[in-house]
Amino acid sequence: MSIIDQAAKNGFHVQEVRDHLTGQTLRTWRHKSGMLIKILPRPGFSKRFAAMTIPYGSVHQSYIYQGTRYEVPAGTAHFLEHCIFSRDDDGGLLGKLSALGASANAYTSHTHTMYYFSAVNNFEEALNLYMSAVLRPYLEIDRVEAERPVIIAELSQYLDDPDNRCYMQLLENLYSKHTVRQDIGGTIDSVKAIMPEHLKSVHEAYYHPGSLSLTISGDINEEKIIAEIIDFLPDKLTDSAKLSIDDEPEEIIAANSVLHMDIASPSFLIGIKNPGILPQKQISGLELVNRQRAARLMLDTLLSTSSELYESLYSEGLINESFGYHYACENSFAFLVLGGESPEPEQACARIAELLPAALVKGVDSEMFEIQKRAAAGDFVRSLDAVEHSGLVQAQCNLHSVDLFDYPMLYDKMDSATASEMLQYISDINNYSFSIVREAKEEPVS
Amino acid sequence: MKIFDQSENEIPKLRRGVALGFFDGVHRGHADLIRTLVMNCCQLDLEPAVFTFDEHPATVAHSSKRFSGYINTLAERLELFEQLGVSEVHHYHFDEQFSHLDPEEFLNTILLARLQAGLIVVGEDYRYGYKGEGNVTALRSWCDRNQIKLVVVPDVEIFGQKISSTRIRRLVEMGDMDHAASCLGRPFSLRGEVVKGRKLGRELGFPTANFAVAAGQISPAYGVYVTRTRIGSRTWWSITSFGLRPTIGANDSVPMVETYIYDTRVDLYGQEIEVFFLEMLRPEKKFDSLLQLGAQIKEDLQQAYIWHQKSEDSYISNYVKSIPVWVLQTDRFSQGSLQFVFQHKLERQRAAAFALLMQVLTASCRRFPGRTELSTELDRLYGSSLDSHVEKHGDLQTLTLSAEGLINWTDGSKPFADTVRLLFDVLLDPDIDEDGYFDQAIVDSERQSLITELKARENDRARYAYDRSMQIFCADKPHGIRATGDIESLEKLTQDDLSKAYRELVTELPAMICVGGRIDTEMLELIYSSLDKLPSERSASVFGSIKPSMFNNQQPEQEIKEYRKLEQARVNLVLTGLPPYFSHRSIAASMLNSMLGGDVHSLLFDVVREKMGLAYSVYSVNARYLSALLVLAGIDADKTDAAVSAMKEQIAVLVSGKFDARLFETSKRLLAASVEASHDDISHMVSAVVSAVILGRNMSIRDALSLLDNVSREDIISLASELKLAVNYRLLPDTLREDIKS
Repeated sequence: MSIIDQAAKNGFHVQEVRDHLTGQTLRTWRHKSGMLIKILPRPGFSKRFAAMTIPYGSVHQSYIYQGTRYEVPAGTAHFLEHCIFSRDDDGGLLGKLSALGASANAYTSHTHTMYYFSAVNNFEEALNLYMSAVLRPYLEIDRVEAERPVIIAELSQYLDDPDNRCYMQLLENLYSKHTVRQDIGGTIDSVKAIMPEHLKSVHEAYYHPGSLSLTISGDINEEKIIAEIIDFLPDKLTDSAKLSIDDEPEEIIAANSVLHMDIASPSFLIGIKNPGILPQKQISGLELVNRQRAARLMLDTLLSTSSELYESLYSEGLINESFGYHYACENSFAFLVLGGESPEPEQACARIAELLPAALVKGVDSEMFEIQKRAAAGDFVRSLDAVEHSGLVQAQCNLHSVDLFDYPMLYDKMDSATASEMLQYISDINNYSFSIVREAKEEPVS
Repeated sequence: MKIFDQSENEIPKLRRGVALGFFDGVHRGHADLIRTLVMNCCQLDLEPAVFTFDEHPATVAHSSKRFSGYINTLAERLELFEQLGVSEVHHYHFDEQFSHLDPEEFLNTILLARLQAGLIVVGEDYRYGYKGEGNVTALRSWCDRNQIKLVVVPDVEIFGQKISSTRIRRLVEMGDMDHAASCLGRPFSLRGEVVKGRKLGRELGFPTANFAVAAGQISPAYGVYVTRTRIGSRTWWSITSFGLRPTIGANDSVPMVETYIYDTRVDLYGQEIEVFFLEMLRPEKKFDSLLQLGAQIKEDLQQAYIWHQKSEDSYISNYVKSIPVWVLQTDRFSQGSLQFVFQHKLERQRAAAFALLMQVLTASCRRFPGRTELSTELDRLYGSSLDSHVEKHGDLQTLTLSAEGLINWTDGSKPFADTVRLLFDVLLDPDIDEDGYFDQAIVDSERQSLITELKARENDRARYAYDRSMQIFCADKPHGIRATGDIESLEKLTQDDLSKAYRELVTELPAMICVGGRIDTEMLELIYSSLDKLPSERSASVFGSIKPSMFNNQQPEQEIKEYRKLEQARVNLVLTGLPPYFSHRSIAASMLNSMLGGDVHSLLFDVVREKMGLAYSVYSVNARYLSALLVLAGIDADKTDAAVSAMKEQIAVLVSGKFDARLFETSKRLLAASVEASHDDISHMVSAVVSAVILGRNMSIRDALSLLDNVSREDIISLASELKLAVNYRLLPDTLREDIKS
């Protein structure tokens, strides 16, 4: 019996696509429970990788599930991630996976939680353990209380991190109501307020096969994978929860803020809020991914080491190689962040605020844009050389119902005029906010 | 390297460290022993010398015992000693008379009187004197009496058995070249002068280079092997038949090495070549006809060629201007990766000059004069990358230029080859004026970028604490100098300094190249011809001949508290006592690190973080070039005492041996998985080859897994018992300062 026939027998519908650039395949399995599985076969590689994508992140502090509205404290998503990993008498999930030679990790973002692991041997056994820990966790008071001090220690570590403080200050400047303005881990007070009931209700609403997706890459035996996961899948489709979130004003809150810390060298971040994507103006799916990809090409044209703007700032000594940029574009918020270390952060901010809108107004060099399309296509092919990286990118794609293999097509179709149009908000200086971290005013004690 | 035999009446009056042994094959165990000698001599200011024999004692003292032949000729052995850093070899004839020498007389007359030994290094099983009556116990007592330091280097085990010359001879005789290479640390090889053969291979369309094995040398099992062949400085893929050629010359009594070399046709008669035996394809066989033989040869040729294409085995393909070009052939990746690495001993000012030079070089070249132009070209090459970085390996600074890109694109272009051309452009044709000065604007901006980066490093509390504990631990030794130099040195650099550093880089610094991926002859020719453009006056020693010095911290424990404005305290412990970086025992040190704090199952993570809730981050790092283990943690300010006690308790658990079997087994599994997975990334694979050359220890995944498998609980207990706390550094919130509080 072929894998596809076997999958069908177990309640899966299977589709296969082949990438014309690399000849590699991607298989999509959808189970009748709603569970989505993406498989990137990579014969000849040692490492095998699996990721579970849960569409629940730090912004989901209020959601509706089966007609009921739930409210949870800030930091609940991150707390739940900790609990799934926390140790028990058997060593917990991490201990058990380590004993199999598997290395596991997880992260919580504004919009989702990702659980992933890689293993060279014992992959199917590790997958079973992982599924069990994520789908059937122990969330009672003893585990919650054991995890709380560790999370509080993590939060206090972030307080010493000037980059994190700079970023949080920036989000507070950009958004007034949206929960994206809060630290992903919450605050020490909100963490103290999280109770087992909060974690259980979130788990029930989001951590089920109809909601999450699984991505697997590497040299795998699909038959064995079906055998390991089938018992976790119910026979019928399960309900999905929905984010409930207040409207957010289009305007930013503050144009600039300066934080003084005991540091040796200042740094800056500029945030540019997109007033076109807000809780009241949500986007999703291909439209969202198209905007993400267009932004990548535009920002590489405008801000990468190949750009005039980068060269001006670098040669003026206002930025160094730490300079970077990132476009966070999700269903209910979108903002561009750029910055890095600088001896003159105010001046760096002022120059960018002068040069970036001007570059957009002047019109993007279409030849440079085409060169960036080549670079992005090359990146895509290279990314498939890495089992873990390609698996993780596909796991993120699952959130927006697209595939990694759609990227070349999206890049190919994109032109500079359309991309410029999508990023018009960058030309409006009113959408800009500066966050600066500077040396402490008084002499540091040493 | 100076060579003396017993006929030399006068030898230089020097205090020496002496390694004793025959060292046939100079295998992994021998290499550990000789490098221990060299490193100890460096610290004790002694001349590193080897005392050995021309003939194996077994050929004289136990002539009834079968001796199957030498793995190396004496000349090859001497070459290998030199590569390991030995500066003198004293080789004697081992004859009847010598074999009757009283053990103590041997020590007194040769080691004490003649060689003036201040240090003796031997293996665990070393025997000497008449009938081998002298052993390590007797030697130790003699050394104590004569105030000579004795170092006994442990054996190295692989695949469950001790590595020995006898074992290697047996493997070679069986044709098991793969395991022989695992024991030797390099493939088994035979050298010889090519002689005129019957030209039958040429008639069949497969011309071969033929030679007979040197007298006394071991003969491999008769058969057909996948081989590589070195002709002069260059090494080619080849296939070799070794045996008596039963199909064509039933009367032959002398086995011949017959090698077909792929991709080249040169007349080799009269030249010395070296054939490296990699894997046996099939045993020798008598065919009924030449037609059958021809068909089999065709099949063998194809099979061996596929083996070479997929080998994932690194080797030196050529030396150009004394630069070895390592090749790592693999067909699994769409991209290729090349690293051009230079090395030199760390000095503060030079470190800064080279760090800035590398930044400036990769910012522009004459063909693309400016960062923007160069960067745009890389984007045009489908996002290829051309980078530089500086690193530190003990007291060596390594400077790396790296190129990565896709091997092919659908439009027929070869982005990787074009990126490699760019790399050579930035190195060989930089944007400098007639005085050798770089563009001042580029120098200024790159300097500013580096200074800003160094200042910002202090912003990160964990890095700051790490840097401080390293400064305290390394004190004034070069090991403590930052790889990028310091801000003060960077600020002082002039155009003359950079110009001088550039000249030094291209004419004097030892360098190596490693290129990985689907590497074809065209790519290799591109590299060789580019290297040929290096200045003709280039006179660098071979990369790897300068080794990181062994680090030995003898200072008493230092407990240091410093204060800054911060929320969470940082605690760093530096523990010394691990084996030197080049020792094969260092794999046990990796295990020890994994068990203590190297992973999430470790004692520190499990007990200090999870059970006691004292820290969010707590882990350990194996600083192998410092022979030290670092424990690094972020701790609640009021819990640092409790945390340090808990950390020390975990070390005590390892010393006592009262650790869970699961902890031990899990560490093994995780390390094994990371060894296996390291071959899933082409740039990691290339970096691993460079690291292996610096370490002086090349090993396959299988070898590494076997060494790991051999690590025992006793090894862990023994290593943990050697750990000694050297630095206890705490970075605390300034609110805890006693003078402020009071």
